[in-house]
Amino acid sequence: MTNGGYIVAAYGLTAIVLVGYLLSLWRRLTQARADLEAPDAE
Amino acid sequence: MSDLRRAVGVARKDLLIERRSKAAFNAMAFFAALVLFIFSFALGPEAPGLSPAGQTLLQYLWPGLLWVAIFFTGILALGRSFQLEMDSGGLQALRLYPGDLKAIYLGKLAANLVVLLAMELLLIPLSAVLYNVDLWTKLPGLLGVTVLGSIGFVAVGTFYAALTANLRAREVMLPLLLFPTQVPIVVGAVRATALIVHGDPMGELNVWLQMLALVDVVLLTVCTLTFEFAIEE
Amino acid sequence: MQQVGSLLVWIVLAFLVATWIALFARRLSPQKAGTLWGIVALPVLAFGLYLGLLWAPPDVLMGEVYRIMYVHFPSWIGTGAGYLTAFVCSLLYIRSRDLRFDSWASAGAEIGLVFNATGLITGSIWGRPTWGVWWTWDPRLTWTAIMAVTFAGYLVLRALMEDPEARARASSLVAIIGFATLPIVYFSVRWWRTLHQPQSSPETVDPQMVVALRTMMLAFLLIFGYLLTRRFALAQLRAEAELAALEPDELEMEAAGD
Repeated sequence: MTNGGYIVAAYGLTAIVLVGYLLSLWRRLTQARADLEAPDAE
Repeated sequence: MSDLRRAVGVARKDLLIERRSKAAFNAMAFFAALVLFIFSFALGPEAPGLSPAGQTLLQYLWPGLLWVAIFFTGILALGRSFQLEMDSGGLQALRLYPGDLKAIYLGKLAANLVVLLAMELLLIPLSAVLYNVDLWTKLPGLLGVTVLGSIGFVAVGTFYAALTANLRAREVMLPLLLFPTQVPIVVGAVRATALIVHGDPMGELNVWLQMLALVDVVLLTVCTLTFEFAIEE
Repeated sequence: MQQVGSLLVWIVLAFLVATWIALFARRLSPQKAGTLWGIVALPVLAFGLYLGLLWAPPDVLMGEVYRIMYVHFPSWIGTGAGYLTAFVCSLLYIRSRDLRFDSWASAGAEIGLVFNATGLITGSIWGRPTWGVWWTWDPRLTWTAIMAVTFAGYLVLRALMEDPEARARASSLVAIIGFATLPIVYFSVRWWRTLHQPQSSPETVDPQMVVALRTMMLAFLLIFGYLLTRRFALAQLRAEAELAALEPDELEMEAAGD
């Protein structure tokens, strides 16, 4: 791998982890809000 | 009744139960022997080791293998120590006694330490015979390392055994929580054992023993101070 | 650019301190502070990436690869902030038995672990061209891996327990014991490696690099703050849901008791 390849890999994987966590956090938040608003729907 | 006598009482009760049933000790001894056999199968009984010529790989690695065996076997004893109380509601009774809850911790710790040391008294000669390690002249130093390493292991182990006693997955949780805290003990105990068995040209042994003792003190202090919260209802 | 960068670092730092003071003076809710941090994080991050990837000069010894540093070191800032939050809030929980502290502690542990993961990943990728291997038992790398295992155990324990109070108590103790043992783990791992090789430190004091690194560290700290408040909000919502789920059962039990 070239130097550039290592840099892209490091920045790319960091971005994937952080953005992935952010998206999962948002999804869990909307889910939790929805659950709390309509608990009797089940 | 003073707290010290309460601690001794708890320890004597646990050891009496253990002596009558021998459930933990028999399982541990059997497991320890099996672990020693597995190492031999995995590494080869006659594979050549590194530094001093003529040494086998098993002899070279013996300090590390010994402590891996002690840790894996010790987990069995720790898991049992609070299970005993959970099945019969004994912990509730213990908690109701007047006085400091630290006494329960120290009592349980002492009982676990005695069981572990008894197991080590069996494991060390057995592994030395199986792997042809010459340690008969080095037993006093080895005893010191074993005691220091075991105290650190049992200090945190007893604490986490109490904390996980109620859990469904306690068999997994106990090692998962305990092993990361045991890194200083493994490093110190294995290095000190290796220096005793393979020789100590630089005179480093004392430094490692002091480090082990210091780690023991830190772990014991932290766990003693927080134990009362671990066994709350 | 040098002056602009240093000035920006000071402004963002002042902004962080101001929001903290406002938080403790209860002039600002954690959620609003988190939103502010999140908004400010974006331009700071963009500027930091520009400084680190384009503006800062290549390293004399390592060439361009050293630029991994601009995500690697800031990851440890997030890790440290997260685990410190978990430790402090666990102590506060044990003292006060206020479940909100438990929510903060669990948020800190989870986000600390996320940054711990990015730190280990970038460290491993950086290690490959510099040391020739993906993983080396370098004391600091080993230590951070043990940290990750410690707090992963914390999160696994929480996932296994259902009763909120018991879960909060048990996991607080795990965070306290785990965090308290980290310093002695660090020294033991260093001693364990002393016989092999001393760690060469890549502390090149080029002022351009320092500005780029500080900007990225602040960006990551702001991102950490945003994530922490959102994770706390999630923990609070779940706590409410647990309470709501508990109440009907208790009512039934009382009715059956009568």
